[in-house]
Amino acid sequence: MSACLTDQELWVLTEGAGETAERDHLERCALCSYRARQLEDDLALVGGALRGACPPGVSAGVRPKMVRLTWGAAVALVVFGLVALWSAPPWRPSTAPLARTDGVAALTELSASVFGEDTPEISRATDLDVVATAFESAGPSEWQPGGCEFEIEPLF
Amino acid sequence: MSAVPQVSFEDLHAEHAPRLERLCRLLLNDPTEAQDVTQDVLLKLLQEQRAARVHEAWDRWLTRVTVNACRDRRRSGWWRWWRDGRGSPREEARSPVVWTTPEDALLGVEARRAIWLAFRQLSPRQREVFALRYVHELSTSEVAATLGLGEGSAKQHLFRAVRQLRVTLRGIR
Repeated sequence: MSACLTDQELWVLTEGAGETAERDHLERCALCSYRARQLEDDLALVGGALRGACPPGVSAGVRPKMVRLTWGAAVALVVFGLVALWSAPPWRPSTAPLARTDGVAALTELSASVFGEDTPEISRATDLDVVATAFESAGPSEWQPGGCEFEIEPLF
Repeated sequence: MSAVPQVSFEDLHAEHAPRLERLCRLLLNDPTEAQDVTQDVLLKLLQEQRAARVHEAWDRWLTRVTVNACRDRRRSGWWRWWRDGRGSPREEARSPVVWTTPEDALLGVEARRAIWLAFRQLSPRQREVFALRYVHELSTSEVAATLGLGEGSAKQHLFRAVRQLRVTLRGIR
């Protein structure tokens, strides 16, 4: 391995992990050894500073990040609502026919297509009397009021 | 299986209370809240002791409970911020300086402030892993186990935190 180690590789090595080739490089390369020492010093320094007392002025007036996000979202929502109200056309009562009228028209159309003019007359309840009259006038019926046309003679 | 020795509440309190309060102060922005959360955690410890529950590793249990308590406190931070006067400045000087380390003497106040501010800029998860690894000196695998993370995920968070804090350090030097 000839190229110098990245910061992440160096950090992984200081954590006690990493590959053998990287560790070999660290032992051979003066620059990487120096960088690794510097990294360890930095971490010790930061750890030490955080282990000590919190210096004055650090937590004064610090807002939680969530509060900032919540306020940002609320303000954005209000602005969006105002813009939508401003740009929307004024409200007018609708002049379109009611949906019920449309429904009735559709039913009428359906009825006309099912019971149209070209369908047999029998299908209309109002023409049943005409059909009955025509049927009766077509020929004599055995059930005519005058009785049966043929007399049945007795066998015995 | 050998029985886990019973440890008294007083011993655990004496051993862990300062450590837990330090952890709370790292994970929360407010020293008063940090003290409150520490007391809550110690109360939970007392309840565990009274219920005769025994944990094999009290230190890990306490750390996990503390981290969870701090998370809960952060989540409910918005309404408390509103209730308490919407972010009125809290005097850090009001709380007494409890811990003094050799690094405190070496580092100037400005440098320490810059480091603390940079630490506060980290994400909550990065703060947790960094505090446990480099302030409480747990191993990376212990950090992952305590926080319920995979080891790879813990390492990722940790490296990002390290990189960000080093940028601040370069500015100080």
